[in-house]
Amino acid sequence: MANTKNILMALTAVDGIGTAVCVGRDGFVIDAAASPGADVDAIGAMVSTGLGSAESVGKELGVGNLTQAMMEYKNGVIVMTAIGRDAILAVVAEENASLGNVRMQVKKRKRDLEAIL
Amino acid sequence: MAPEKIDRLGTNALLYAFTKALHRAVGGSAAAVMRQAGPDILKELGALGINGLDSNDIHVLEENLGKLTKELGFCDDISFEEEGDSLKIHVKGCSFWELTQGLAEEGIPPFACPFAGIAVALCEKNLGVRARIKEITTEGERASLIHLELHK
Repeated sequence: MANTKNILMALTAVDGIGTAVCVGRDGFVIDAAASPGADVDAIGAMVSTGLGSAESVGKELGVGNLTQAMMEYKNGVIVMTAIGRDAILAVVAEENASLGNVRMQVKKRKRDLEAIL
Repeated sequence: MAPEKIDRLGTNALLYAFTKALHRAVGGSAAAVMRQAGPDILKELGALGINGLDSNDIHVLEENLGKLTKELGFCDDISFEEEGDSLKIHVKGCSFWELTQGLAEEGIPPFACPFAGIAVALCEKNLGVRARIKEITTEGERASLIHLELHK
């Protein structure tokens, strides 16, 4: 049976995805597959509050629950999704990665993580 | 000139407003902000000349944290109960009671509990053990139980 680390490593094996982290709502890093030197604890806190504020925007605007959030930066893209009520999956992809594939992989691995968390 | 010490209820009111706004902005993820604040609280206490929280012995930390929090007027008593992967912290005579109870009445978890933030930071920085708040419950008037999960 797959564990969290294996699922995250499978994500980083996808072309263009360099980092995949699974964090609790409290910012606790449950597991990560990241490039050496990445500050995963800081990433955990930012991912949690980033997704939390995106959810709050949706709530205020009455557009329902958030399914996936994507932020495009000059040098990369971050895709985040909630895993159940208490966890979040986030991946960091290169700016030229295939966004359709990245989003699809996140959706697929979300289900895998929900099954074990 | 304003008095050196500000009113406890006034402080609770300010913290309540800040934390409620934070919860409205980021929902349950507000706990992640508190997790980030813990190490800074320790740093700021150190900058005030309040030391004794640099030990890596849990019993010394318990004793020193108890002395410091009483000295600062944060609570009357604090004690630790460690068992395997669990650390239970009993806080009595909590000065932030109105803050956490006010949040609870709004359906907001007590994520702003400063004792919990400090305890997590101490576990991670001093004991080298990753820690996570499992739950915070009341144990009577002005008394709380902070239950941490230790990831050894």
